[in-house]
Amino acid sequence: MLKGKKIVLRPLKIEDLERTHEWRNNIELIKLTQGIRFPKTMEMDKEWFDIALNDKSNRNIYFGIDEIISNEFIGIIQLNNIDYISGTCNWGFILGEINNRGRGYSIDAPELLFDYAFNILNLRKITGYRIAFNKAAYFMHQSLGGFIEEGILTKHVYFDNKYHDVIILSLFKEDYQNSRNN
Amino acid sequence: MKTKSEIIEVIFESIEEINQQNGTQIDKNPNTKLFGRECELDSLGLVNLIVSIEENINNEYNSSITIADEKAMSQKHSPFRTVDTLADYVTELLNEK
Repeated sequence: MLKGKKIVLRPLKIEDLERTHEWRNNIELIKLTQGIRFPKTMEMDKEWFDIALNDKSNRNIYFGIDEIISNEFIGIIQLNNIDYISGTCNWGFILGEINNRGRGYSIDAPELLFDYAFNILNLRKITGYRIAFNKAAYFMHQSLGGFIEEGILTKHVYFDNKYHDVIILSLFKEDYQNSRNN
Repeated sequence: MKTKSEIIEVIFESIEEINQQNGTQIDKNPNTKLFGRECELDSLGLVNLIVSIEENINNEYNSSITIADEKAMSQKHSPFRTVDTLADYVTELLNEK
């Protein structure tokens, strides 16, 4: 368990399935997180949970996010495609309940994850993707500091009758540490 | 022609609204940082502040602008660093129209 100021990260558990199922079918969340745009049945999500909860490869790590004050499950944050030779991985993050956005969790949870990735797993570079119009994600990356834009996937994803750019953002261990010290 | 000091007053008005809505105590000062670890606003709070500034600009100047568009978000030096840099950016946007 990783404890922050307002939230804790702990292993995902089967009790998280029902709420996660709701989020994975929420079209607004799907747009922001570039999720799969087809309906997900409970059976499909149960299968996804079975795979995630029993994944012993150490290449994908999923944390449930619990709010300390309420002890409520509010989101998921994860590392994927971990390559221990190159020291790289991707990361992803979802805060499912709209009432829980705007409370500072979008700083607290990623910082705990990045500390874990860099200082426990000894990774050196974390990569993520932001849809160009996602203002909250832009401000989150600015607040976290240290991210560099490595490229743009032009007109890469489609919804709302338009193709949208996707920004590739990377965080190196030394840049993260420098941003925390400043 | 809108002046920067007028725009700073509009931003302060929006900060006051956000403080009342969220119970935050964001300082109405040009040097106030708008994002970062020490800032009271998190990412969604800042989105709400920007929306409020857009609405107040629209009400006061009858001018519709989008502050946090892809052009703003792709700048090397973010215009959202402080109240002062944001005021510079908004003044420029309004005077371009």
